[in-house]
Amino acid sequence: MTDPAAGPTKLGSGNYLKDRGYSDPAEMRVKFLLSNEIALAIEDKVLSQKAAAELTNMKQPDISRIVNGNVGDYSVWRLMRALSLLGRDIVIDIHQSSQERGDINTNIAPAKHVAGR
Amino acid sequence: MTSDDAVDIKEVVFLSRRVEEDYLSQPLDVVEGFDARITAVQNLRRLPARHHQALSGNAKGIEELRVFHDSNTYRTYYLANYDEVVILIDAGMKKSKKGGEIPEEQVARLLERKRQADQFYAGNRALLHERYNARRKRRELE
Repeated sequence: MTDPAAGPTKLGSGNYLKDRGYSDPAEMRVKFLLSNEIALAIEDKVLSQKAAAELTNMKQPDISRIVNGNVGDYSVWRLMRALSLLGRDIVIDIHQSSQERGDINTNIAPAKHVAGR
Repeated sequence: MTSDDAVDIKEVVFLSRRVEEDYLSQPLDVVEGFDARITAVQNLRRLPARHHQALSGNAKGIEELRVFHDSNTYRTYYLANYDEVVILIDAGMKKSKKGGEIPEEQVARLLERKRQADQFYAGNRALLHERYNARRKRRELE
């Protein structure tokens, strides 16, 4: 390869946030996916951040940080409540795991009223 | 094994050490913002239009993520047209010309890195697919 930027390419573990060094990768994955859904809900509803803040009982700077993906300081519950106030149902499904210790993850149903990317 | 071992749908690969260094040298809030968008991309989620753009013309196949921070726009470029992996090929603050066009020299760099990424993928496809199937199986069990 001629590009000097080309160094060894290493494979990830399949858990990106763990590879990135987050101490709580599964929790951050849930938070990041919730923040993306909040940003999408605000965009789908064509809301200003001010209007989104009023709808979710939050302050505008909080909405700005959440939309930008800076969600480390927000609890999963707070993010779920904001998303629900923006018109999304959230259901917690619990199944028997085939492993000794189970996984915590997120499944998001495709939106019915918005075309996929 | 703990719940923190739960896996993503696609894995993420930095094309080179330099791409990873460029990515990590951005302000912490910017890196976290990109981590959020990459988490959505690798788990097959749609992104808000403000956060994402697919390039066109001869750069087709390359996609751009954006994070807005302190009046600057930071951009990270990736390839998402592989089933098993998201390959990050460039990162950092890029001051676009008026109209949002990417400077020609940067397009040339992106195209060269896309070529390298395609080569990496072709050489590792079987392994990437095996790993993808293992993650899919684990997620189906959830």
